[in-house]
Amino acid sequence: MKAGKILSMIALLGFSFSLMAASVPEEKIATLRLAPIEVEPTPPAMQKVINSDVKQVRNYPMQPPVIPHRIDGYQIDLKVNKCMQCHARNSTGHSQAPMVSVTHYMDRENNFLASLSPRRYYCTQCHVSQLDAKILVENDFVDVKELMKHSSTTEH
Amino acid sequence: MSKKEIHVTSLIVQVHPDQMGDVREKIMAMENAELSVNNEMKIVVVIEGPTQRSLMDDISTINAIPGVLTATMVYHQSEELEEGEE
Amino acid sequence: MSMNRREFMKANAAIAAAGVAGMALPATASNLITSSEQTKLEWNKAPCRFCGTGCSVIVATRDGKVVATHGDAKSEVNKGLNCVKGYFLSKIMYGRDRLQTPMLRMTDGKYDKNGEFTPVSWDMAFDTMAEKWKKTIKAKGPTAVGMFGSGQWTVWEGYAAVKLMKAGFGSNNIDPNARHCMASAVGGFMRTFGIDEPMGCYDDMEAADAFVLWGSNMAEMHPILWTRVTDRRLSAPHVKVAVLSTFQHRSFDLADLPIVFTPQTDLAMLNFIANYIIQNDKVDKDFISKHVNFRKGETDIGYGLRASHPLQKKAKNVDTAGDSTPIDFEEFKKFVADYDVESVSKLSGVPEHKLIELAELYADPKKKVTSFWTMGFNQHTRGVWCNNLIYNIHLLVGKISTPGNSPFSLTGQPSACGTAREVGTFSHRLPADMVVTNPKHRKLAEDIWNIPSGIIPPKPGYHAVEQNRRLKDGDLNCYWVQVNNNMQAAANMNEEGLPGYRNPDNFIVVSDAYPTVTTQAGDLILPSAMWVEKEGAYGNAERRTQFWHQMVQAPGESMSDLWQLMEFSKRFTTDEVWSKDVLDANPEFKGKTLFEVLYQNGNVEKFPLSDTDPKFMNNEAKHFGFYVQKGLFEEYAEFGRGHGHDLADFDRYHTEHGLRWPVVDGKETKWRFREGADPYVKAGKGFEFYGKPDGKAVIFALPYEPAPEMPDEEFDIWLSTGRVLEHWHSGSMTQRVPELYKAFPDAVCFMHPDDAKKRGLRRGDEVKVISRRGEIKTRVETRGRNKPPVGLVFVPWFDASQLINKVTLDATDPLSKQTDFKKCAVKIVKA
Repeated sequence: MKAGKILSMIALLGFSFSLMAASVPEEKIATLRLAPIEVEPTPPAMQKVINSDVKQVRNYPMQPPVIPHRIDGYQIDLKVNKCMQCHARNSTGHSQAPMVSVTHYMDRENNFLASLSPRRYYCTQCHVSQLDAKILVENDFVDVKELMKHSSTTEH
Repeated sequence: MSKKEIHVTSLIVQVHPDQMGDVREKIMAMENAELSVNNEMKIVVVIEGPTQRSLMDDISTINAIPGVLTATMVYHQSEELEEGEE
Repeated sequence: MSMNRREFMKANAAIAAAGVAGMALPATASNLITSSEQTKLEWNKAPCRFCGTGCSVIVATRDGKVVATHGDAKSEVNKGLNCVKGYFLSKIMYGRDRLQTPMLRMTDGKYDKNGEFTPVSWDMAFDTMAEKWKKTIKAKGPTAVGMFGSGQWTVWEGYAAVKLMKAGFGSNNIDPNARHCMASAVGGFMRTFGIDEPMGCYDDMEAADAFVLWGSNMAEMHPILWTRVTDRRLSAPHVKVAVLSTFQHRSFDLADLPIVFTPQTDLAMLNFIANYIIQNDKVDKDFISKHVNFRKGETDIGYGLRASHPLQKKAKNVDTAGDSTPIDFEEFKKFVADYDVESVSKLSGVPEHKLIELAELYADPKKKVTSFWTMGFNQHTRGVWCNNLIYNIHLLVGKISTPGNSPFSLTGQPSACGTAREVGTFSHRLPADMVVTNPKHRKLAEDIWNIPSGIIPPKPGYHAVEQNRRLKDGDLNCYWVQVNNNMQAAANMNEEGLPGYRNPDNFIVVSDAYPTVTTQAGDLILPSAMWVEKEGAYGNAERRTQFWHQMVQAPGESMSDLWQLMEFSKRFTTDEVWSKDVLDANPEFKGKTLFEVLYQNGNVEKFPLSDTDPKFMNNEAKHFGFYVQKGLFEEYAEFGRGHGHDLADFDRYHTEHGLRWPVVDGKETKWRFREGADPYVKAGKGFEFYGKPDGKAVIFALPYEPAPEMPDEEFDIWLSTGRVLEHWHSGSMTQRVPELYKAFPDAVCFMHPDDAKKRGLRRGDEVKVISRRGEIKTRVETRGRNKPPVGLVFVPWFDASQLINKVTLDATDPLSKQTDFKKCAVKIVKA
């Protein structure tokens, strides 16, 4: 079978190639660089951590929420876990911070523990704060909610 | 106005096999609980509610059903409701 | 709130619980809860696309899109957890700049090395490629064509590529970027044990009493394994964690014994520990008398630089670098006696009491010790030595192959083990640890592949670093790069990589899902399908093989690497690539296409299209008319079955959450080389290192030797490069996920505040990092997650606009040919 066949198949599926129709000079191809390889671009000024405390909507329910505040200098080591001083179950009364999900109180075998599971101890392995950097490439991930809206409007 | 929340959790409920039918019926009768898959010993139950407290209450209710051996929470998720959602 | 979102949450909750309960899931999670909307959600397993840990994830798809992922509760590896990269897998395929069509550099409708990238058809792309390949092979022979892949190739893609290069073109010029990552680990395994990959497995983590990290920042680079170490450390208070590095990083947050040492002196510390064990009479004499031989290795072996480099000229034993001679225990004892605590403390900058405390972890017979290492050991001009020396220690005290006692080499890429190492996509290798230099191995491969004898050349091809040098020198002219970003990743870009790719005599093809710096330096770009856009298999660092199904379609005209390799092979006949002698002796091959020879050889096309699971897409099977992946896998598995590398049947992997080879009688193997745990160890042996003919592992006497380039008056500070938690694979996928990008958008130069002050610099200042080879512009960071000591800076390499590999040195380990990205001399000046 020739390569052409599968291509026509894909074309039938309705993909559009028009976006990429124009030719692109070398220095414009690598979206994350946008400079000739020989040139040393000036690095952007260091951005600030977004510190608004405004929660960012999750892309899907199981996504660990990003941290909406600064965590510079937070100690998470053998002695202290600074994050849990506000986010532990028994701290949320005074801090009014969201409590870590109950999954964080379960061990590897899914038994419940009295306190934070040690496997979840290092918060920054999953939760990251955000800098106010301008993104270089848009992401076209579609929230399932949008897909569901779309399908319900087309189906009903 | 403070935003409303929705909490969802899932449980593995271990049941005495002889009483499986009764337990299923009792859970089905609960307002916030739904049954999922089960085998002769275990049922997966999903509970939703407005607060973590309400989930805990429902779990206590399930634990108290005769024939229930244990109810183990596996997954918990909470989301803030957007304006107009309920 | 719409019912949909609520139902989605509930379905997730149900599937998580059902997974934990071990209940059979219906075909779709949707059926878990009665709701019409839910019937449209599909949930299937796949390994994570990033590091070598090999976490399993559950992927939700709907309407042809990946909409969510979560950690696989059934996976022994991660038990429902992911790191921040894994949690964002759903978004890696949806960067807006996905490549959608082949693009060829053209001017006025014709190929032009200096033209603009212009969309072309696949036919035109392959025609142009085939013409270049044929012309080159005719003029210069098969050594002038080459291929560069990676440990991100699926098992069958790597296998198809090896076949195309070695059995098709008759060229050994194929290497993976695993050469930059774990070649030293391979070298260490082969030299000490005669067989590749760790003897232990991740279960060691729940059994160990002490962990030692040698040049490994697991907290950022293997976060899920770190959760298991953390779990063990915090749950069992007697457990101790030692962390060794040339700078302080996040793994130090768990360290009971933090050690920052002067670069390169790990060699001396390793020998000190061996010496300490011997001096304190802690050697397991029974174990070493039964299971160990002693040898002394060649020294002064050079630094894997170009032969013209003064350091190479000065080295005495470049040509015999891998040699060794037998010695006995007494000679070994004498050899390491020089490494006493005073002199090693002085050399390494580590206080004596810390060295002793470290040595005691290994020496104490009551402590089960797991050692982990990654790039600190492997990216080292004496990387194989480092690997040999850590095995020395574990062997001396017999702490090996039992739960918790584990010298454990971790891997960087999702299939560095499964593809690069096991399939053997290296320039010197064949599947199942075999090598091209061995006539028996070549014969065996040619027999399994049903090709005439004499096709596989006996001479190893160009390894990764050599490929860039040969491209520059014009010896390698047609070059195909798949699944990696080597222009950004390889050292000394200015002097080797870039002039190599841009050499007017060369034609460079780059297959990728996204436009990278490597595509920018190439001549033809081929758009690739990625991850769950194709059926795949990866093998992780604990010998676990994991499969996944195709779940969605790739955008535009993107095609999998497998499709690309196999389609390209159709454009060649044997007459165009094989010698006349071979064809005269084997006339039945005359006129056949390479596709027929390689992929319709009686094996690969054995399984019909009807064997594929109708629930899933499989573009390749549909296109070629047979179950390509299964045919390739089963042919490949023949190499290892019965030889210590047994893989299970193809179909089983689609139902399991991974299995650790050797899989014998349907059972996986957790610990190799120990009787009772490994079916290959003969009864009564206790332990057997069967990779070696006499069943004995080797303890090597190897010295400390200095690094090739050290700070001096002008270039006055060490540079170490590396990664950050949020970015992997040069950032080509992770930088396109907004949440990961914003967590760490730009590379910075991590620096000690005193070093900054001394140079009149403040945090955030723009600086140049300059070496003898090149420079970049970046900004000073004196705070944050990495805290280098005075005299060392750390710059991560994920940033396409700060190409730190312009600065690095392409010195390699002469044995493994792996580059040392951790040590060179630079100066830092205000820009």
